[in-house]
Amino acid sequence: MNKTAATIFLLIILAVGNVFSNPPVPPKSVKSEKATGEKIKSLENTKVSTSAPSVDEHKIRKKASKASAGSENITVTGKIKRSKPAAADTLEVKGRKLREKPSATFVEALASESADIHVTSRGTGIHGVASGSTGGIYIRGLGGFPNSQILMVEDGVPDYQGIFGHPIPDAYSSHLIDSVTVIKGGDSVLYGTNAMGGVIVIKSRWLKVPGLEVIADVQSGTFETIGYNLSGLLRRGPWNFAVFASQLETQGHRPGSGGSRLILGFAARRCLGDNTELMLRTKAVHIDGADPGPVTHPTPDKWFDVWRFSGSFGPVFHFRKGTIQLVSWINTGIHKLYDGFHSVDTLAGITGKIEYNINSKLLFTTGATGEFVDGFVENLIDGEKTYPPSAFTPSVFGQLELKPLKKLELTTGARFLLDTTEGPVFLYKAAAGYRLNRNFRLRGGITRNFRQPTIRELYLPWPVANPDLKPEFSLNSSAGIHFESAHVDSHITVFRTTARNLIRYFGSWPTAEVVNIDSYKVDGIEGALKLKNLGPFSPFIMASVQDVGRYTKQNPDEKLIFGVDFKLPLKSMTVLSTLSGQFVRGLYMNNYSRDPMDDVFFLDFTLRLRLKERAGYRIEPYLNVRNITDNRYAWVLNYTMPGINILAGLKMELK
Amino acid sequence: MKQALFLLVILAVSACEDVYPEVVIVNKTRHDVLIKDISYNGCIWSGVLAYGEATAPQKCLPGSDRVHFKKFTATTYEEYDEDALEPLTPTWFNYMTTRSYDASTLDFYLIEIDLEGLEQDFSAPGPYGH
Repeated sequence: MNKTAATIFLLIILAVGNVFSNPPVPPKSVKSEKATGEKIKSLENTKVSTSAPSVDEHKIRKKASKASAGSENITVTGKIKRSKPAAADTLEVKGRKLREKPSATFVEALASESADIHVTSRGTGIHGVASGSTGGIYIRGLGGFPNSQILMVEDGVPDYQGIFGHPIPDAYSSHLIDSVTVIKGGDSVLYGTNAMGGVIVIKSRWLKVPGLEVIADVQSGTFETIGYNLSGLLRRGPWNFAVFASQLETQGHRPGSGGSRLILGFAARRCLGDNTELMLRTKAVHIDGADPGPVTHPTPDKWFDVWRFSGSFGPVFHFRKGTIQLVSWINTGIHKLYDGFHSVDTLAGITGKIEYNINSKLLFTTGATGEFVDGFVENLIDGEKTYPPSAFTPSVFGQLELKPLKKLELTTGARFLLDTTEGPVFLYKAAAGYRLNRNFRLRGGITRNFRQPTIRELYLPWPVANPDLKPEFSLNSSAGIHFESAHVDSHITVFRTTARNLIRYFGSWPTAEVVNIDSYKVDGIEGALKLKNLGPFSPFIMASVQDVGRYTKQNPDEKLIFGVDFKLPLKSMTVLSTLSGQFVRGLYMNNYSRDPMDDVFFLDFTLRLRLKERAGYRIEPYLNVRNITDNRYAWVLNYTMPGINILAGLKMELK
Repeated sequence: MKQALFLLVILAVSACEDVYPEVVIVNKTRHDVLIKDISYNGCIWSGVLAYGEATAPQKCLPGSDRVHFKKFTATTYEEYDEDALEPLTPTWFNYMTTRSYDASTLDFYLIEIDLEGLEQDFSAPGPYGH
């Protein structure tokens, strides 16, 4: 039935594609900043969209007046390719790379890109909520269950639940993502609460030139898994639209491990004149499934049903030396669990931000943010409702990026924040980067981050609450050396994560307690070596070793990622393939090194046949084989992962 | 190219779960002992098994696990005690087999539970958290 539906879906996409696949030929964007006479002649018959200027980040407009071939003014848009900031401790991943990973979910794909990012999983696509959920993201020892120390920022808007204070890992799909930047060590100066261990900044796609693009992706595989992904981008005149639908259904590899995930999105951007644009984004997410329980005691009847809605709106004004941006957002969710639990939570906020290039060596960023969290919880069995206090957190921040020397870059910043429980809070950061030569750069930095206790931790007794909890603070520092050349991309980073007042649960209901623990320290080293442009094979290896001290719960000591990419252009197609694996040691199910777990080892394989574009179509069949050695392993004790499993799909692009 | 597409389609419709081991559990304890909520390696059977009865076959995960279940001994149950006016609720205790059973792909396993191979199961998961 599902496979028939997939076929029908694909046929509909083909039909729709035929209707819309003949838009006006989009003009080629001119990416040269120097307009030569010949280029200007060719531009005379080309409708460069001056009414819908590209006002993306880093884009500039230059007027090539009095050019050699004529005297008319021609606007040429260009893109300044800024090199990666030398002081940044970040991981940048293209959305396409994440989409082509064999990993079952977005967060798992992200964790396969760096050894100091660890993500738990329990099956083939649904992480779930509440007991038995996975998808906890650990970055350099912080984060994980319940994930509230890692902040997700989606198109400039923080994304977490109002009551529980953490993002839902199932709420993301890589199919409309342009790029993801992981800020390791967090950045509460720019992003506020929850940015303690790391920030995952997601940037969605827009069409860069006028035209239409439709991408359909249908998948089918083991455990009756079927997925549909459809994205459409349209740019016409001053308007830019993006629509997105993604559905995944799976029966799972054992009772209770299946479920479904639906993500719907719509975004619009309207240019008002040359310098201003308005942006609107909306998203709806529905997840249902169950806690399958440990394999020894399955509990497939412990279901959950979650709806989440989010939206953001605001203008961006570009002026000669920078931008002014105002974004307001709201994020609300309805959660229902099998035991009668029902919650409605809301996160709302507004941010105003100014980026000002004082001169070519000095960029100043400043802004103010107000965030509001609220919600209520109901027991659907006895009808009892609980209305915990809401919280409003105002803050102001500033950041200075300067380049005092040609090879030296410095970044410093601070945020003042008024916390409801702690009062005034001061957060800061400082980083430096030095380019030794064309290939080597050194960097180091320190940042003080913060997380407010969540409404649940303070007031809701499931399993226990403590209104006297204090906020968590972390002081994260790192230093590294990076080497980049035409064939090698590598780095080594040493890091120290220290934290105090971490909020931890101990015991089980009704005798559980949630308290601040005194101090926490993680020391580690992380590195990567990637070879590229050496023929069809590009091997890579990444490793991380860390000492997490006493708080060992699902926080591994060692992680190794390895693999080889293969790319072979042929006459009619390009063959793309990756064989990759992970080896993880030092896993414990509980703190104080209790309940040690077996080491994790698995291999994944992916093969894609990217056919040449024909008449505006491009077809790309692909095959993902996960756990090809059929190993028995688990990220969570007794939540055994599936053995070898296969997902085959067909991606079709219409342009 | 056509062969490659054909291979992908074949792989897409293939189902790895079909090779998972089939498992059946049999109550071979005693005539007065009932067992229910039997679980083994990701499978759960919700029915009650009287002595000599067997579960329906289920495809479980490959690997090793003990059989976990709830046990009720009818002969030790007293419907009323001297103080109670209402009938007492029967108590089902958590038990598991003392040994683990291996199950491999593409095989069929019939696991018999007998009284000599039982012990109390204190490994039941804790309360559900939000």
